[in-house]
Amino acid sequence: MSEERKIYLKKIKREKNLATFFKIFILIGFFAIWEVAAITGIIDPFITSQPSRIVTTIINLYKQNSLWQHILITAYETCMGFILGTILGTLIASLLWCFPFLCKVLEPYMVVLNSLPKIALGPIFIVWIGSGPSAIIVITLTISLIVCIMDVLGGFIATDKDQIKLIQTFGGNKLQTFTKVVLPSNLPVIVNALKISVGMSWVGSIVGEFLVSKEGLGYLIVYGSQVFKLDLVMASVLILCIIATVMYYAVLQFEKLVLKSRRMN
Amino acid sequence: MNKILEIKDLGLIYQTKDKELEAIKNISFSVNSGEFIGIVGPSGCGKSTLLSLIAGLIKPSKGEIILSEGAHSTGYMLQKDYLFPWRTIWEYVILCLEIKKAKTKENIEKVVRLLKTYGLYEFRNAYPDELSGGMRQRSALIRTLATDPDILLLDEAFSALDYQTRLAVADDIYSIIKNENKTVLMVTHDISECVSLADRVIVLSTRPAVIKSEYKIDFGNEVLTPLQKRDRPEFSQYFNKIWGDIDIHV
Repeated sequence: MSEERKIYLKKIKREKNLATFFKIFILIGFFAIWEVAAITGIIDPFITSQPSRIVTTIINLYKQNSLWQHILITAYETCMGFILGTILGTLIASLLWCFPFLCKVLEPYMVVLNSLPKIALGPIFIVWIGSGPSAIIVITLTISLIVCIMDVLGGFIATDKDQIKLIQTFGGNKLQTFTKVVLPSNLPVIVNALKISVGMSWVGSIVGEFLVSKEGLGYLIVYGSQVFKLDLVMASVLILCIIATVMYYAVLQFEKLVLKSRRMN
Repeated sequence: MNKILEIKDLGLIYQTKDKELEAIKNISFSVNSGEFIGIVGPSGCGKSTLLSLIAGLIKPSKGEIILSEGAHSTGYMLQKDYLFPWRTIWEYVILCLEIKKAKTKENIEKVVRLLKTYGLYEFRNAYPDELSGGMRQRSALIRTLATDPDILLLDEAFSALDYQTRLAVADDIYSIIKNENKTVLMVTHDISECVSLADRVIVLSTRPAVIKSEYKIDFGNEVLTPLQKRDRPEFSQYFNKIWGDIDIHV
């Protein structure tokens, strides 16, 4: 290895280490300042809570055997929401691609549904389906569905015209064009829609739990704020941060895996 | 020589929302079995449309396309090689058989033979990103030959390649086509490519495309590769004549 290369690699490494240091520094600094401010009475821990009380709250939840239950129920609602939303969205987009006339007719309705804040439909679903995870899953699904349809349909329509022409020169019909070219070439678009849905599904499940629920992280947040237990609220938000990030990375890994197996990265 | 394809008084008018567009007007010519026909013309003159008509992808507004008895199918090769990144070479070359539901033992054996003859058999499980431009073009040709078409339609088949690769690939594809004894209709904007490959060149006018002139390309009795033809004195004579006919103004 040449001297110049060594210096170059060293420089890159130092920059990376420095970035890692500051990342951790900010995290620790934030919680340290929060804790100190609460202890010295600069802020009132009754309304801001404080890190040590958050940890105690989480430990208590764990001891009461309800920590995992709350996490799992919310994670379940979110996962079902974005997975079903993406599958259903892709199916509907496929139908719309196969029947362009249908697409033309439904366009204004799509625009209306897209503009509508889907959360507004929440109470309706609760009345129809009843309170419980099913209603929350439907709310969650609705939030990501329309965006998913539009993204995937956009991808389908933008499929390379010459690739489609190739199938036509073989005498392929519409269904074959779809299964041999349109669907496989749009796999990255579909996985990307899945990725976008993850973030939106968290909104659906948490707000759904705000509306009506007996368990879940959204329930803990709303319950905590109503009884003025800010420790509980902050603890739930912190847990939410962690599992939402974990879920996002899991989907990111899934995306990499799928695209790599299909040689589309 | 027996006639394999006859085009009679062909015309096509495109209908769009804003206007009608006459793409092709009164085109008539015929193709003999085993011939290599090159069609040149200024860009946007409707060359590709002509191939789409012959392939049956669009219906003519006027005139007839008659395939002789026994000749039943055409094979189309497009500008870019259009391998699918998610399909291996093998999955790709049998794509056509898959769509036509013609994966018979006989056809599969034929594809295997083609792959073996043209040095792609050991790459059958490779993905397109692992192959060179020339190999990809070969795979595309084998895919086209897989259903044993009577007429090959090449639509700017080499245009996506850089100049040097293009000369080599044209040579390669030419020898395969001659070896398999196929009739070819090639559309290109490249006059020198046309003169070096074709037995006969048809020059089209600007839109609406009509046949402006026709040249029989004759390099004597010697068997020459397209690359060798480019060195011949006849080559530049043909080139200049066709260049004059195309009449490009900038």
